Amino acid sequence: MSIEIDSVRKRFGDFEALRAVNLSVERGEFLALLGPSGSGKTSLLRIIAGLDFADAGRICIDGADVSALSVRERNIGFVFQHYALFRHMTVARNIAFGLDVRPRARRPERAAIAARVEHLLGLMQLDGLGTRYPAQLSGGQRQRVALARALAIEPHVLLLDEPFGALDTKVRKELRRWLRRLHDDMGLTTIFVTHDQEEAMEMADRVVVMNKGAIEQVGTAQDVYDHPSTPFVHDFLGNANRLPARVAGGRATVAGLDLPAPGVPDGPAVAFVRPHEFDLAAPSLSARGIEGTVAHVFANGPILRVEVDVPGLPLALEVEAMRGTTMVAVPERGARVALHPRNIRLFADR
Amino acid sequence: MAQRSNAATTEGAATRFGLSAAAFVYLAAVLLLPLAAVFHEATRKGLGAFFEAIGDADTMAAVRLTVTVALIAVPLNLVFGLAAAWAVTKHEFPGKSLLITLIDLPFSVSPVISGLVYVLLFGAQGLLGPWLAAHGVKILFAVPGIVLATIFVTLPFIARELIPLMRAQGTAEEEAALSLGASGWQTFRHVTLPNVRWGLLYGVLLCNARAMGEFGAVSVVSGHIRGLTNTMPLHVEILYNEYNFAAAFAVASLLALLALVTLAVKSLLEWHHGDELAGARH
Repeated sequence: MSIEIDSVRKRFGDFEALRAVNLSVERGEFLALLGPSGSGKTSLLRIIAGLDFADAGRICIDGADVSALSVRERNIGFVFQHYALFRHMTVARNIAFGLDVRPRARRPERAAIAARVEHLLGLMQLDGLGTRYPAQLSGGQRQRVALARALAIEPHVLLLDEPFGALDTKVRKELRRWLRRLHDDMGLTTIFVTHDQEEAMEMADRVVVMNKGAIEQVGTAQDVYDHPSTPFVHDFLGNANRLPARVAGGRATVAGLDLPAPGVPDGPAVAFVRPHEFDLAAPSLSARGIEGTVAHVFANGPILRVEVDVPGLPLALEVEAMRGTTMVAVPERGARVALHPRNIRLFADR
Repeated sequence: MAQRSNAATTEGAATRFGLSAAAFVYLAAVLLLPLAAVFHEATRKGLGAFFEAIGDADTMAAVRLTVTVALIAVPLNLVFGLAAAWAVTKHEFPGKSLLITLIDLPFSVSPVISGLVYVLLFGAQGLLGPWLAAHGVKILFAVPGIVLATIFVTLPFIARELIPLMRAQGTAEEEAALSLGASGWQTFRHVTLPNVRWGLLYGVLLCNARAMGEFGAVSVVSGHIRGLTNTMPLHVEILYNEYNFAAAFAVASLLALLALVTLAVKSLLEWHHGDELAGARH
């Protein structure tokens, strides 16, 4: 099902959780809401679910305005951050709950419910755990019970709040791929909230980067990583060196370099260069680079990481390269080097 | 000698034994000795006299009244306690902290004052007294007054037990139930209530013990009419004042028995379901 979010605003007292958020989610899409805590991503998810209500704006699902519908009328699968399993019910009863509470006319036969529960237990690789209680399960198992419970009511939209937050790294990686496959197999429209950029980049068709209650950028993982549209996105996604710059008449001065800066307004600016976008060379007069002194060298497997102190910059620059490719030799600590950025992105400093 | 606990907080054997012994002696003197005395006095003239005292018509009337009052007051406070705890912990509304403070009020007021308030309200010279008298409604020196005073005094027990428990449990499970299509009532019945069942039983137990044992507030509003408005605690006092010690202690032993049963069930609950009780975590 497609979801339209139209100028949704939400305020908690003095805190503006969402400022006029617009977003459209296509049918069958797997979308990540990515942002630091307090960016409004969970508020947005809860408003889509109907667990909270927007102060202004509309939520449409498949063209129908659901803004006034409560969570129980929206038929949305919601997986809570800490799963919120019913602690006094067995796993099977947890999963059956959404069917058991239906009015008689819409409630499946007892045997049909039991069959659905069995099917979901199998699908979630929870065979034989139906009679356990949530407290007797591991974190990964609880997570899958929560998913099974949400899917039992056959929702078309699945919403997940930090679905892997409470799991250890190994389980998390397995579950990610598994969830992505489940989404594809069941033809769901899925939105999940995360603060982990790696998770968002790996799983989602599109990533929505949020900051301070507003959407900064929407795009594929590749897109937002390669073409960040704001300094925040650049900072938040992946490592980046942040250099102070000054723009005048379409030219920028960055750490002594003179670069073209089309479209950037005059005044102070920030330049971003990812660590792997530097070429490292010996200083020479012919090709001017950012000159500095090697402060640290970390040769960690195939990746070489070098920190370079540049006079006039508050922080050392981070440089990364595959060993034996762009660099002639591994530089030594204290050596003079010149950095040639292959790619540099400039933003006006607000 | 291997010591399990931290050496810095461990005293020598003599000190430990001394402190424990002091505590036990104190408990024995203050609690166990009086309890034993009650049962001893009650049966001093033989079991025949004991049962005769209990079988007395006025005593039976007092027992019936006490049970009746508890049967009215406890369910009402159960409904109120559940509703108040649910409102306070699962919802946000203006005046919430005031409600929490008001729930605690009966704990901070002397029961005698609570009783007097009812006299001021419903007494012949009271605020509502003349109107009630004109309409033939008798509250003071009658069963309704006793019930009201008991409800007031025992009001905090169930709410106080449930509020910390429900607060700790949060609202996520309720939200999950709603998102799965459950109605408000289904959510309450299948999720909220089962999650607090042991805490609720614990609260009911304490509430009942107090409802049956309450003396001060009930004494003020009862009027001490034998066979009519005498609850068990009041009846004990009357018998005692009449130098009918055997009967007084016989009735008192019933109350003591109630206390012992309450204590046993309470311990059993704490032992089996301690993690689901707010009181056990104090």
